[in-house]
Amino acid sequence: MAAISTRRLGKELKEIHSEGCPVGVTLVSADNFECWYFTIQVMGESEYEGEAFMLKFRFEPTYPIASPAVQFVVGNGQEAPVHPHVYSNGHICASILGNEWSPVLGVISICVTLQSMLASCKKKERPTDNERYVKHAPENPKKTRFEYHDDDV
Amino acid sequence: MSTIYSYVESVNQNLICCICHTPYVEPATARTCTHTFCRQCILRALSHSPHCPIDRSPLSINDLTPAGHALRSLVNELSVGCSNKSEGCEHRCERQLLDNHLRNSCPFTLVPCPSSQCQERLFRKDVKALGNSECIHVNVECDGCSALVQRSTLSMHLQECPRQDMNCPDCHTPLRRSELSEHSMICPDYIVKCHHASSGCAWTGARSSSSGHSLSCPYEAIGAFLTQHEDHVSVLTMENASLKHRVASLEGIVESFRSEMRVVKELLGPWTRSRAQARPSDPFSNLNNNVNEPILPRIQTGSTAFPGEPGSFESDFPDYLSPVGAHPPNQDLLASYFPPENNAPSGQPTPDYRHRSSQWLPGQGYTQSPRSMPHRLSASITSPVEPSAFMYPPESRHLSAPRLPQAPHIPPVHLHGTLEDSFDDLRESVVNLAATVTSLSQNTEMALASESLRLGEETVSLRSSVHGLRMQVHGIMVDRHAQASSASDPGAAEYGWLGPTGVRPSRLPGGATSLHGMHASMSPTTKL
Repeated sequence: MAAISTRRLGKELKEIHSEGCPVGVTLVSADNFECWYFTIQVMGESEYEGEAFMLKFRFEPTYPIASPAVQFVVGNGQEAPVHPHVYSNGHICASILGNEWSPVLGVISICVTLQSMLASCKKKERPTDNERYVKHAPENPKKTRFEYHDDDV
Repeated sequence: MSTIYSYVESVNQNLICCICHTPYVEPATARTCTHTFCRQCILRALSHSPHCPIDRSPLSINDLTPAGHALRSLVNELSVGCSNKSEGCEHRCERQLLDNHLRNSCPFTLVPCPSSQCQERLFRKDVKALGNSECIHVNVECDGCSALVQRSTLSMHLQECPRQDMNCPDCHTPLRRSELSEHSMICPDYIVKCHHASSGCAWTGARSSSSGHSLSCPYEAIGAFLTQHEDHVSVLTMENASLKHRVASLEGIVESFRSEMRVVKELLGPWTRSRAQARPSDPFSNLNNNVNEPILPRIQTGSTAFPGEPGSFESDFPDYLSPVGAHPPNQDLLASYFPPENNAPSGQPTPDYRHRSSQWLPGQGYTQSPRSMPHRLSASITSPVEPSAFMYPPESRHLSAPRLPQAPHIPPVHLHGTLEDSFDDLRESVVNLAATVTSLSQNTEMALASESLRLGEETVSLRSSVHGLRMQVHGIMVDRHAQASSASDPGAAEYGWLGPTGVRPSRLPGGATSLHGMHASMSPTTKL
């Protein structure tokens, strides 16, 4: 039912407008309740100092029961961060976007989680199976069945 | 689906469901972890994943229990607005009472049409207004235009039906709505403006009285003047427009002239001042001004790039225009090509320009590089005034060459004068030069003539000496020959060698001695 996601996203957007985004997160566009864009920057000292990445959120009508499809934007001058859990096509291997999603989470909490995921990175490298995955990856990262093996995130 | 509530006041955060982010509706609490959610929210979440959304502990529907009475009361008593607010209902009540309001009393709730045959729904208030008479959804015919109109909208239709009879709002003549606009063009009571309204008459009134107003309208009296005036103004406007156009094009021409002028000024350098502004001054005063180094490179590149903006024309050449102010740096630059007045040779016949060139050069850069271009130029200028060194060997110069005329006075080029003056100066110099050359050639001719005369005389005396010598030799040879022929056989005299002179050569008794004799006899002649 569309009403659930619309009402919930309306609430979240209102909150973003009234209280603002956390440091390093900026709302780029939220013109509808289907697709939002954010940019995130890692604050403080990190491997990604000075870099900014764009995140694309796609919501299903069952949001927040179902998780949103979240990925980094690649192309148009945007690049996915080089990170062991981020594929070069922008897909993110993070459990909270998959089987550990909880309706309690929201757009901003995802942004903050990904921010800390980047901030805790020790070595900039692509996932080991990057090429194989990118070759066969579906357009929507939610259709991928990731295996989450790293508990550091 | 539960009703979407619109809460009137802000709600305590503790009453907000963390899944839908709205106050709890039918709050349900998990027995295992005591987290509370809306009943609908947690049921949906559990259908997706059997875990508590907050702590991810396993959770099933059976673990849910209705939240405590206090919490339910708190959320049920939240004040909400009627969900038909968009239709116009301003009712507010406790959330738990809203359902009752919508069902029983809200005038904007859609209820079925009271007519038993009709399936339509309408607002409760409309049903009340209608009474229980007839179904309003039946189509009825408009009396005027005979269109089929639903009864509920008939009154609205009558407001705009074109066939509806009505009265003219001004003259109250009965007419149809569709004729109204046509009628207003002729209606005698229609409110019109004075036809001088454009000129300023503020009168408005019924059309029938406008002719009466015309008689008293103050603008009517000067109507002809106003018309003429308007024509005049329109003509002037057009003329003004064309003049503006011409001014714009002329401005463009002036601008191009200015830029051309700037090019010319750049090319002419220091001679761009008018005669009135030109005033002679001590050239050495310029030397102090050459400290304007920042301007110097500007001048050197000036022929290709014009400094300054096109608009600030005068400011580009402030130096040329200021009468007493600093001389343009060009002057310093050019001064190296021309000797200043004080250095002009006046007394010495062959002034050493080479040596002096370093003194003329005002710029420090030039004095430190004596092989630079201006130096060589100055040397070439001076060369014509010392030609004697190339024409006469040193000895003959002492003996016979006439004394050189005094070197002509070469005035320096006046850079601070007008171009005309400079040309005059240059011409004068050329005339002087020509005179010098003429006198020089005369002197040369004279020297040449006297020298050749002397040489001719010498040649004649030499020739006579040679002749005497020859005669002497001839006499000796003849004597020798006579002696030889008388001593040996006389036949030899007939077949003997005859010299070119026809005289028999004498027989040499000993070649070496005779040669000695000849040599000794000839030696005095060389003294001639």
